[in-house]
Amino acid sequence: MKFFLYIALASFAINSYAYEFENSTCTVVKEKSKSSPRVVTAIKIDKVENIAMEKAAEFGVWNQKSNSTKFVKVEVHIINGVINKSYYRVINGQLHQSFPSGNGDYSFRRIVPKINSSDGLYEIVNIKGSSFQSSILSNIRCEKNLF
Amino acid sequence: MRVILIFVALTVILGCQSTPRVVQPKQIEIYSHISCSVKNNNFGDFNSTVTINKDFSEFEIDGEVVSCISNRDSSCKATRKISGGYEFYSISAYTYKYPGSGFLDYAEIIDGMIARSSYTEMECNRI
Repeated sequence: MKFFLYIALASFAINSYAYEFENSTCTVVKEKSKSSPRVVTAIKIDKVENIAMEKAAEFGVWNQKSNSTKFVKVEVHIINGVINKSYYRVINGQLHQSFPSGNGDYSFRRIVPKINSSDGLYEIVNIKGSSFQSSILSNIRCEKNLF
Repeated sequence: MRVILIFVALTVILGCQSTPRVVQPKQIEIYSHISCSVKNNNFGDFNSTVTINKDFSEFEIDGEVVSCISNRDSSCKATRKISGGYEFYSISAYTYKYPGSGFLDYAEIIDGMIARSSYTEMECNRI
């Protein structure tokens, strides 16, 4: 009986695990160089969802070597008013995307959210063919339940 | 009066004669490599010294030689296989001033994810 109680409690603990970065809004505080244009105005991170990989394949390419089925919807607000909405895969507390982006490029994106700290990261790395093409690297600061 | 005129004419004529130019011998560039060390990490925590061949055909990092995929305009792009993924480099090094300057863009992709990235200002010297 105790065993089932433990299982039930463990299951509840797993299901109710909340990620600190859920429902947070982030600002870019520093780009990789002074000459980098500030493109991103805000990053909004939604609640984490558990999505089966078959379903997740409908809205992205998930080539990361991981068993994670946790995904989170992210809005990236850009300076001209455009809002890019897409899912990121949650792996070890970080948010990841990777996908082919035309002309033989392959893009990788990572968000490392940090609440109340400017040490968070928003990174884009573009690989052309088999070599480095470009990168956008930024430090971000996130606030929880802002709006 | 005639003497003054002759003097002025001679001064003008001799003054217009060009003096033979002393040709500076071309300085021989006696260096084979460019060594770049971290001056300022604008982003990330890259901390290795990179020694690039003069012709930007390859560079050495942490005791390992890495070939440049493209080497033009004093820059080198390279890819190094590591356990679980790849390291990508884009290095520029300029040594027409001493010390010279350089920039290094770096990304480490492991298991299909960004694991580390850096953008580093380097101090580069001919060696």
